[in-house]
Amino acid sequence: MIIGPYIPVLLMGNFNYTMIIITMVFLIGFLTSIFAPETFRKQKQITTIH
Amino acid sequence: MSVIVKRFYTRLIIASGIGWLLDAMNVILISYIVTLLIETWHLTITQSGIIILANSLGLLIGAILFGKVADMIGRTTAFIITLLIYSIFNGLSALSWNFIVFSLMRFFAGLGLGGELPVVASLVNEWGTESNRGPLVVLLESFWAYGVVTAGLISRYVLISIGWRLTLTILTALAIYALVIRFTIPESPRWLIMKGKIERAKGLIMKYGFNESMFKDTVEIKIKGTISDLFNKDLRKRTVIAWILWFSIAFGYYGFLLWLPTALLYRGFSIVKSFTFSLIMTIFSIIGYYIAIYLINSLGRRGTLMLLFLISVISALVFAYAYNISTLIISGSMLNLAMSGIWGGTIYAYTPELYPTSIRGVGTGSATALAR
Repeated sequence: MIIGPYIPVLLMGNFNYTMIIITMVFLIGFLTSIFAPETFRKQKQITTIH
Repeated sequence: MSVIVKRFYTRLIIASGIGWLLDAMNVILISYIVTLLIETWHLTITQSGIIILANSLGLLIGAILFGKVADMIGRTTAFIITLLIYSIFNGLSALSWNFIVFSLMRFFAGLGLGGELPVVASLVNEWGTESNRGPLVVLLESFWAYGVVTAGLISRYVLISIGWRLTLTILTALAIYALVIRFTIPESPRWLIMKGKIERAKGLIMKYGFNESMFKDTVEIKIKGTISDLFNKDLRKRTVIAWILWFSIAFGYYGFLLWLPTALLYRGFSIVKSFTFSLIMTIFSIIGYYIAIYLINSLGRRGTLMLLFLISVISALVFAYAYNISTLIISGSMLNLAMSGIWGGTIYAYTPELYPTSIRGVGTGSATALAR
Protein backbone atom coordinates (compact mmCIF):
# COMPACT_ATOMS: atom_id res chain seq x y z
CA MET A 1 0.00 0.00 0.00
CA ILE A 2 2.95 2.29 0.55
CA ILE A 3 4.83 1.37 -2.59
CA GLY A 4 1.84 1.18 -4.95
CA PRO A 5 0.55 4.71 -4.35
CA TYR A 6 4.12 6.05 -4.42
CA ILE A 7 4.72 4.90 -8.00
CA PRO A 8 2.92 7.93 -9.56
CA VAL A 9 5.17 10.16 -7.45
CA LEU A 10 8.31 8.40 -8.70
CA LEU A 11 7.00 8.63 -12.25
CA MET A 12 6.22 12.35 -11.83
CA GLY A 13 2.49 11.87 -12.30
CA ASN A 14 2.67 9.54 -15.31
CA PHE A 15 -0.41 7.44 -14.61
CA ASN A 16 -0.11 5.38 -17.81
CA TYR A 17 3.23 3.91 -16.74
CA THR A 18 1.81 3.48 -13.25
CA MET A 19 -0.95 1.28 -14.67
CA ILE A 20 1.57 -0.83 -16.60
CA ILE A 21 3.57 -1.42 -13.40
CA ILE A 22 0.32 -2.31 -11.60
CA THR A 23 -0.45 -4.78 -14.42
CA MET A 24 2.94 -6.48 -13.88
CA VAL A 25 2.33 -6.80 -10.15
CA PHE A 26 -1.11 -8.31 -10.78
CA LEU A 27 0.57 -10.77 -13.13
CA ILE A 28 2.86 -11.83 -10.25
CA GLY A 29 -0.25 -12.25 -8.09
CA PHE A 30 -1.89 -14.38 -10.77
CA LEU A 31 1.17 -16.64 -11.14
CA THR A 32 1.47 -17.00 -7.36
CA SER A 33 -2.21 -17.89 -6.99
CA ILE A 34 -1.58 -20.95 -9.19
CA PHE A 35 0.65 -22.34 -6.41
CA ALA A 36 -1.57 -21.25 -3.50
CA PRO A 37 -1.97 -24.07 -0.93
CA GLU A 38 -5.11 -25.55 0.55
CA THR A 39 -6.31 -23.88 3.74
CA PHE A 40 -5.03 -25.08 7.12
CA ARG A 41 -8.33 -26.65 8.05
CA LYS A 42 -8.59 -28.62 4.82
CA GLN A 43 -4.96 -29.74 5.09
CA LYS A 44 -5.62 -30.98 8.60
CA GLN A 45 -8.63 -32.96 7.48
CA ILE A 46 -6.64 -34.59 4.67
CA THR A 47 -3.90 -35.57 7.14
CA THR A 48 -6.49 -37.07 9.49
CA ILE A 49 -8.10 -39.13 6.73
CA HIS A 50 -4.76 -40.60 5.66
CA MET B 1 -28.50 -23.01 12.82
CA SER B 2 -30.76 -21.84 15.63
CA VAL B 3 -32.60 -18.52 15.68
CA ILE B 4 -30.42 -17.29 18.57
CA VAL B 5 -27.21 -18.04 16.66
CA LYS B 6 -28.57 -16.34 13.53
CA ARG B 7 -29.51 -13.30 15.58
CA PHE B 8 -26.06 -13.23 17.13
CA TYR B 9 -24.32 -13.41 13.74
CA THR B 10 -26.52 -10.61 12.40
CA ARG B 11 -25.55 -8.40 15.34
CA LEU B 12 -21.87 -9.33 15.04
CA ILE B 13 -21.75 -8.58 11.33
CA ILE B 14 -23.70 -5.32 11.59
CA ALA B 15 -21.63 -4.03 14.51
CA SER B 16 -18.32 -4.97 12.88
CA GLY B 17 -19.54 -4.01 9.42
CA ILE B 18 -20.55 -0.44 10.30
CA GLY B 19 -17.03 0.21 11.53
CA TRP B 20 -15.64 -1.56 8.48
CA LEU B 21 -17.73 0.69 6.21
CA LEU B 22 -16.47 3.81 7.96
CA ASP B 23 -12.90 2.55 7.68
CA ALA B 24 -13.25 2.07 3.93
CA MET B 25 -14.84 5.49 3.58
CA ASN B 26 -11.95 7.12 5.39
CA VAL B 27 -9.24 5.26 3.48
CA ILE B 28 -10.73 6.02 0.08
CA LEU B 29 -11.89 9.53 0.92
CA ILE B 30 -8.23 10.54 1.20
CA SER B 31 -7.90 10.07 -2.57
CA TYR B 32 -10.70 12.59 -3.16
CA ILE B 33 -9.47 15.00 -0.47
CA VAL B 34 -5.96 14.95 -1.93
CA THR B 35 -7.41 15.76 -5.35
CA LEU B 36 -9.20 18.76 -3.80
CA LEU B 37 -6.06 19.82 -1.91
CA ILE B 38 -4.06 19.78 -5.15
CA GLU B 39 -6.31 22.66 -6.18
CA THR B 40 -6.87 24.47 -2.85
CA TRP B 41 -3.35 24.17 -1.36
CA HIS B 42 -1.70 23.99 -4.82
CA LEU B 43 0.06 20.75 -3.92
CA THR B 44 2.61 19.14 -6.21
CA ILE B 45 2.40 15.43 -6.99
CA THR B 46 5.23 14.83 -4.45
CA GLN B 47 3.40 16.68 -1.67
CA SER B 48 0.19 14.77 -2.46
CA GLY B 49 2.25 11.58 -2.34
CA ILE B 50 3.58 12.51 1.12
CA ILE B 51 0.02 12.73 2.49
CA ILE B 52 -0.87 9.33 1.03
CA LEU B 53 2.48 7.89 2.19
CA ALA B 54 1.96 9.14 5.77
CA ASN B 55 -1.49 7.58 5.87
CA SER B 56 -0.12 4.31 4.51
CA LEU B 57 2.83 4.26 6.92
CA GLY B 58 0.38 4.58 9.80
CA LEU B 59 -1.63 1.69 8.37
CA LEU B 60 1.53 -0.42 8.10
CA ILE B 61 2.77 0.18 11.65
CA GLY B 62 -0.76 -0.20 13.04
CA ALA B 63 -1.22 -3.58 11.34
CA ILE B 64 2.09 -4.92 12.72
CA LEU B 65 1.65 -3.49 16.20
CA PHE B 66 -1.99 -4.28 16.86
CA GLY B 67 -1.94 -7.74 15.23
CA LYS B 68 0.37 -8.74 18.08
CA VAL B 69 -1.45 -6.67 20.71
CA ALA B 70 -4.74 -8.38 19.78
CA ASP B 71 -3.18 -11.79 20.39
CA MET B 72 -2.03 -10.55 23.82
CA ILE B 73 -4.94 -8.53 25.19
CA GLY B 74 -7.86 -9.85 23.16
CA ARG B 75 -9.70 -8.88 20.00
CA THR B 76 -12.41 -6.65 21.51
CA THR B 77 -10.09 -4.56 23.70
CA ALA B 78 -7.63 -4.09 20.83
CA PHE B 79 -10.19 -2.85 18.36
CA ILE B 80 -11.78 -0.44 20.81
CA ILE B 81 -8.32 1.08 21.43
CA THR B 82 -7.53 1.28 17.72
CA LEU B 83 -10.86 2.86 16.82
CA LEU B 84 -10.35 5.42 19.60
CA ILE B 85 -6.90 6.35 18.25
CA TYR B 86 -8.32 6.63 14.78
CA SER B 87 -11.29 8.81 15.85
CA ILE B 88 -9.10 11.29 17.75
CA PHE B 89 -6.58 11.85 14.98
CA ASN B 90 -9.13 11.81 12.19
CA GLY B 91 -10.90 14.65 14.01
CA LEU B 92 -7.64 16.54 14.54
CA SER B 93 -6.72 16.22 10.86
CA ALA B 94 -9.76 18.39 10.06
CA LEU B 95 -7.98 21.28 11.82
CA SER B 96 -4.76 21.03 9.77
CA TRP B 97 -3.40 24.26 8.32
CA ASN B 98 -0.83 22.82 5.91
CA PHE B 99 0.00 19.55 4.23
CA ILE B 100 2.75 18.65 6.77
CA VAL B 101 0.37 18.85 9.75
CA PHE B 102 -2.29 17.06 7.71
CA SER B 103 0.19 14.28 6.83
CA LEU B 104 1.17 13.88 10.50
CA MET B 105 -2.46 13.60 11.63
CA ARG B 106 -3.18 11.13 8.82
CA PHE B 107 -0.24 9.03 10.01
CA PHE B 108 -1.73 8.64 13.49
CA ALA B 109 -5.25 8.14 12.15
CA GLY B 110 -3.80 5.45 9.87
CA LEU B 111 -2.11 3.85 12.87
CA GLY B 112 -5.47 3.25 14.54
CA LEU B 113 -7.16 2.19 11.35
CA GLY B 114 -4.35 -0.16 10.30
CA GLY B 115 -4.46 -1.81 13.69
CA GLU B 116 -8.19 -2.21 13.65
CA LEU B 117 -8.72 -3.97 10.34
CA PRO B 118 -6.90 -7.29 11.03
CA VAL B 119 -8.28 -7.34 14.57
CA VAL B 120 -11.90 -7.17 13.42
CA ALA B 121 -11.25 -9.74 10.69
CA SER B 122 -9.79 -12.14 13.29
CA LEU B 123 -12.70 -11.59 15.65
CA VAL B 124 -15.37 -12.31 13.06
CA ASN B 125 -13.34 -15.23 11.71
CA GLU B 126 -13.01 -16.76 15.17
CA TRP B 127 -16.72 -16.57 15.87
CA GLY B 128 -17.27 -18.50 12.65
CA THR B 129 -17.47 -22.25 12.38
CA GLU B 130 -15.91 -24.40 9.69
CA SER B 131 -18.95 -24.15 7.43
CA ASN B 132 -19.71 -20.44 7.74
CA ARG B 133 -16.32 -18.86 8.46
CA GLY B 134 -15.55 -17.98 4.83
CA PRO B 135 -18.96 -16.48 4.04
CA LEU B 136 -18.95 -14.52 7.34
CA VAL B 137 -15.64 -12.80 6.60
CA VAL B 138 -16.72 -12.15 3.03
CA LEU B 139 -19.96 -10.64 4.30
CA LEU B 140 -17.99 -8.40 6.63
CA GLU B 141 -15.76 -7.40 3.74
CA SER B 142 -18.77 -6.45 1.63
CA PHE B 143 -19.19 -3.49 3.98
CA TRP B 144 -15.83 -2.29 2.65
CA ALA B 145 -17.34 -2.07 -0.82
CA TYR B 146 -20.29 -0.08 0.53
CA GLY B 147 -17.78 2.20 2.26
CA VAL B 148 -15.84 2.73 -0.97
CA VAL B 149 -19.04 3.64 -2.81
CA THR B 150 -20.22 5.83 0.08
CA ALA B 151 -16.87 7.64 -0.05
CA GLY B 152 -17.50 8.27 -3.76
CA LEU B 153 -21.03 9.51 -3.09
CA ILE B 154 -19.90 11.77 -0.24
CA SER B 155 -17.09 13.17 -2.35
CA ARG B 156 -19.31 13.79 -5.34
CA TYR B 157 -22.24 15.33 -3.47
CA VAL B 158 -20.93 16.50 -0.05
CA LEU B 159 -17.18 17.09 -0.13
CA ILE B 160 -17.35 19.46 -3.09
CA SER B 161 -20.14 21.46 -1.37
CA ILE B 162 -19.11 21.63 2.30
CA GLY B 163 -15.34 21.15 2.03
CA TRP B 164 -12.93 18.58 3.45
CA ARG B 165 -12.75 19.95 7.01
CA LEU B 166 -16.44 19.59 7.70
CA THR B 167 -16.54 16.24 5.93
CA LEU B 168 -13.76 14.86 8.17
CA THR B 169 -15.56 16.20 11.24
CA ILE B 170 -18.76 14.37 10.28
CA LEU B 171 -16.78 11.17 9.72
CA THR B 172 -15.22 11.48 13.17
CA ALA B 173 -18.68 11.71 14.72
CA LEU B 174 -19.68 8.57 12.83
CA ALA B 175 -16.53 6.77 14.00
CA ILE B 176 -17.39 7.60 17.62
CA TYR B 177 -20.85 6.11 17.00
CA ALA B 178 -19.18 2.94 15.65
CA LEU B 179 -17.04 2.85 18.78
CA VAL B 180 -20.12 2.83 20.99
CA ILE B 181 -21.69 -0.01 18.96
CA ARG B 182 -18.54 -2.08 19.25
CA PHE B 183 -18.75 -2.23 23.02
CA THR B 184 -21.59 -4.68 22.46
CA ILE B 185 -19.46 -7.28 20.61
CA PRO B 186 -18.30 -10.19 22.80
CA GLU B 187 -14.71 -11.46 22.91
CA SER B 188 -13.60 -14.27 20.59
CA PRO B 189 -14.20 -17.66 22.21
CA ARG B 190 -11.21 -19.14 20.39
CA TRP B 191 -8.92 -16.47 21.81
CA LEU B 192 -10.32 -17.10 25.30
CA ILE B 193 -9.73 -20.85 24.95
CA MET B 194 -6.21 -20.21 23.73
CA LYS B 195 -5.57 -18.05 26.81
CA GLY B 196 -6.91 -20.78 29.10
CA LYS B 197 -10.10 -18.87 29.95
CA ILE B 198 -12.17 -21.95 29.19
CA GLU B 199 -15.09 -21.19 31.50
CA ARG B 200 -15.58 -17.69 30.11
CA ALA B 201 -15.42 -19.06 26.57
CA LYS B 202 -17.94 -21.77 27.42
CA GLY B 203 -20.21 -19.15 28.98
CA LEU B 204 -20.18 -17.06 25.80
CA ILE B 205 -20.65 -20.09 23.56
CA MET B 206 -23.70 -21.19 25.59
CA LYS B 207 -25.07 -17.65 25.90
CA TYR B 208 -25.22 -17.20 22.16
CA GLY B 209 -26.72 -20.62 21.52
CA PHE B 210 -23.70 -22.37 20.00
CA ASN B 211 -22.76 -26.00 20.31
CA GLU B 212 -19.48 -26.39 22.22
CA SER B 213 -18.12 -28.83 19.61
CA MET B 214 -18.20 -26.08 16.99
CA PHE B 215 -15.10 -24.57 18.61
CA LYS B 216 -13.37 -27.85 19.43
CA ASP B 217 -10.67 -27.48 16.76
CA THR B 218 -9.22 -24.50 18.67
CA VAL B 219 -7.46 -26.60 21.30
CA GLU B 220 -6.17 -29.29 18.97
CA ILE B 221 -2.96 -27.58 17.93
CA LYS B 222 -0.72 -25.54 20.17
CA ILE B 223 1.82 -23.34 18.49
CA LYS B 224 3.38 -20.37 20.21
CA GLY B 225 2.33 -17.25 18.36
CA THR B 226 5.44 -15.48 17.12
CA ILE B 227 6.52 -14.20 13.72
CA SER B 228 9.26 -16.88 13.51
CA ASP B 229 6.57 -19.58 13.80
CA LEU B 230 5.19 -18.41 10.49
CA PHE B 231 8.38 -19.79 8.94
CA ASN B 232 8.42 -23.27 10.44
CA LYS B 233 8.47 -26.06 7.87
CA ASP B 234 4.67 -26.51 7.90
CA LEU B 235 3.80 -22.86 7.44
CA ARG B 236 6.74 -21.43 5.47
CA LYS B 237 5.28 -21.92 1.99
CA ARG B 238 1.86 -20.64 3.07
CA THR B 239 3.37 -17.53 4.60
CA VAL B 240 5.44 -16.66 1.52
CA ILE B 241 2.49 -17.19 -0.84
CA ALA B 242 0.09 -15.25 1.40
CA TRP B 243 2.54 -12.36 1.60
CA ILE B 244 3.01 -12.21 -2.19
CA LEU B 245 -0.76 -12.33 -2.80
CA TRP B 246 -1.40 -9.59 -0.25
CA PHE B 247 1.41 -7.47 -1.63
CA SER B 248 0.11 -7.82 -5.20
CA ILE B 249 -3.47 -6.90 -4.44
CA ALA B 250 -2.57 -4.08 -2.07
CA PHE B 251 -0.07 -2.62 -4.52
CA GLY B 252 -2.62 -2.60 -7.33
CA TYR B 253 -5.68 -1.71 -5.27
CA TYR B 254 -4.21 1.30 -3.51
CA GLY B 255 -1.96 2.27 -6.42
CA PHE B 256 -5.09 2.53 -8.54
CA LEU B 257 -7.84 3.67 -6.16
CA LEU B 258 -5.92 6.24 -4.11
CA TRP B 259 -4.95 8.07 -7.27
CA LEU B 260 -8.03 7.43 -9.39
CA PRO B 261 -9.65 10.90 -9.05
CA THR B 262 -6.26 12.59 -9.48
CA ALA B 263 -5.39 10.41 -12.50
CA LEU B 264 -8.66 11.45 -14.14
CA LEU B 265 -7.95 15.08 -13.25
CA TYR B 266 -4.54 14.74 -14.94
CA ARG B 267 -6.27 13.34 -18.04
CA GLY B 268 -8.05 16.65 -18.36
CA PHE B 269 -11.38 15.98 -16.66
CA SER B 270 -12.83 18.53 -14.22
CA ILE B 271 -13.05 17.76 -10.49
CA VAL B 272 -16.79 17.07 -10.80
CA LYS B 273 -16.29 14.69 -13.76
CA SER B 274 -13.31 12.98 -12.09
CA PHE B 275 -15.35 12.38 -8.96
CA THR B 276 -18.37 11.22 -10.99
CA PHE B 277 -16.37 8.70 -13.08
CA SER B 278 -14.56 7.45 -9.98
CA LEU B 279 -17.92 6.92 -8.29
CA ILE B 280 -19.30 4.93 -11.25
CA MET B 281 -16.22 2.68 -11.29
CA THR B 282 -16.27 2.04 -7.55
CA ILE B 283 -19.92 0.94 -7.65
CA PHE B 284 -18.60 -2.22 -9.32
CA SER B 285 -16.73 -3.00 -6.09
CA ILE B 286 -20.01 -4.18 -4.60
CA ILE B 287 -20.72 -6.49 -7.54
CA GLY B 288 -17.19 -7.88 -7.20
CA TYR B 289 -17.78 -8.89 -3.61
CA TYR B 290 -20.96 -10.78 -4.37
CA ILE B 291 -19.45 -12.54 -7.39
CA ALA B 292 -16.57 -13.61 -5.14
CA ILE B 293 -18.98 -14.96 -2.51
CA TYR B 294 -20.47 -17.20 -5.19
CA LEU B 295 -17.11 -18.17 -6.67
CA ILE B 296 -15.28 -19.14 -3.47
CA ASN B 297 -17.85 -21.85 -2.87
CA SER B 298 -17.99 -23.09 -6.45
CA LEU B 299 -14.41 -22.56 -7.70
CA GLY B 300 -12.73 -22.58 -4.29
CA ARG B 301 -10.34 -19.98 -2.86
CA ARG B 302 -7.48 -20.71 -5.25
CA GLY B 303 -9.62 -20.86 -8.40
CA THR B 304 -11.30 -17.58 -7.50
CA LEU B 305 -7.96 -15.90 -6.87
CA MET B 306 -6.60 -17.08 -10.23
CA LEU B 307 -9.65 -15.90 -12.17
CA LEU B 308 -9.90 -12.50 -10.51
CA PHE B 309 -6.17 -11.80 -10.76
CA LEU B 310 -6.38 -12.59 -14.48
CA ILE B 311 -9.27 -10.12 -14.93
CA SER B 312 -7.21 -7.53 -13.01
CA VAL B 313 -4.21 -8.01 -15.32
CA ILE B 314 -6.31 -7.51 -18.45
CA SER B 315 -8.39 -4.57 -17.23
CA ALA B 316 -5.39 -2.69 -15.73
CA LEU B 317 -3.60 -2.97 -19.07
CA VAL B 318 -6.65 -1.74 -21.00
CA PHE B 319 -7.09 1.17 -18.53
CA ALA B 320 -3.47 2.24 -19.12
CA TYR B 321 -4.15 2.77 -22.83
CA ALA B 322 -7.82 3.84 -22.64
CA TYR B 323 -8.47 7.34 -23.90
CA ASN B 324 -12.16 7.44 -24.68
CA ILE B 325 -14.57 7.73 -21.78
CA SER B 326 -16.43 4.44 -22.33
CA THR B 327 -13.27 2.27 -22.47
CA LEU B 328 -11.92 4.12 -19.45
CA ILE B 329 -15.08 3.54 -17.42
CA ILE B 330 -15.54 -0.11 -18.49
CA SER B 331 -11.91 -1.12 -17.81
CA GLY B 332 -11.86 0.85 -14.54
CA SER B 333 -15.12 -0.77 -13.48
CA MET B 334 -13.88 -4.29 -14.30
CA LEU B 335 -10.68 -3.59 -12.40
CA ASN B 336 -12.69 -2.44 -9.38
CA LEU B 337 -14.87 -5.53 -9.62
CA ALA B 338 -11.90 -7.94 -9.75
CA MET B 339 -9.82 -6.18 -7.08
CA SER B 340 -12.74 -6.04 -4.65
CA GLY B 341 -13.48 -9.69 -5.30
CA ILE B 342 -9.88 -10.65 -4.57
CA TRP B 343 -9.47 -8.51 -1.52
CA GLY B 344 -12.76 -8.64 0.25
CA GLY B 345 -14.35 -11.65 -1.26
CA THR B 346 -11.46 -14.05 -1.22
CA ILE B 347 -8.16 -13.17 0.38
CA TYR B 348 -9.61 -12.04 3.73
CA ALA B 349 -11.41 -15.38 3.98
CA TYR B 350 -8.45 -17.36 2.70
CA THR B 351 -5.55 -15.98 4.79
CA PRO B 352 -6.87 -16.66 8.33
CA GLU B 353 -7.71 -20.21 7.24
CA LEU B 354 -4.07 -20.80 6.38
CA TYR B 355 -3.06 -20.64 10.04
CA PRO B 356 -4.03 -22.39 13.29
CA THR B 357 -5.86 -20.27 15.89
CA SER B 358 -2.85 -19.63 18.14
CA ILE B 359 -1.02 -17.68 15.44
CA ARG B 360 -3.95 -16.64 13.30
CA GLY B 361 -3.73 -13.06 14.54
CA VAL B 362 0.01 -12.88 13.88
CA GLY B 363 -0.35 -14.66 10.52
CA THR B 364 -3.18 -12.45 9.30
CA GLY B 365 -1.56 -9.35 10.80
CA SER B 366 1.76 -10.02 9.07
CA ALA B 367 0.06 -10.60 5.70
CA THR B 368 -2.04 -7.45 6.01
CA ALA B 369 1.09 -5.58 7.11
CA LEU B 370 2.76 -6.64 3.87
CA ALA B 371 -0.27 -5.20 2.14
CA ARG B 372 0.38 -1.82 3.74
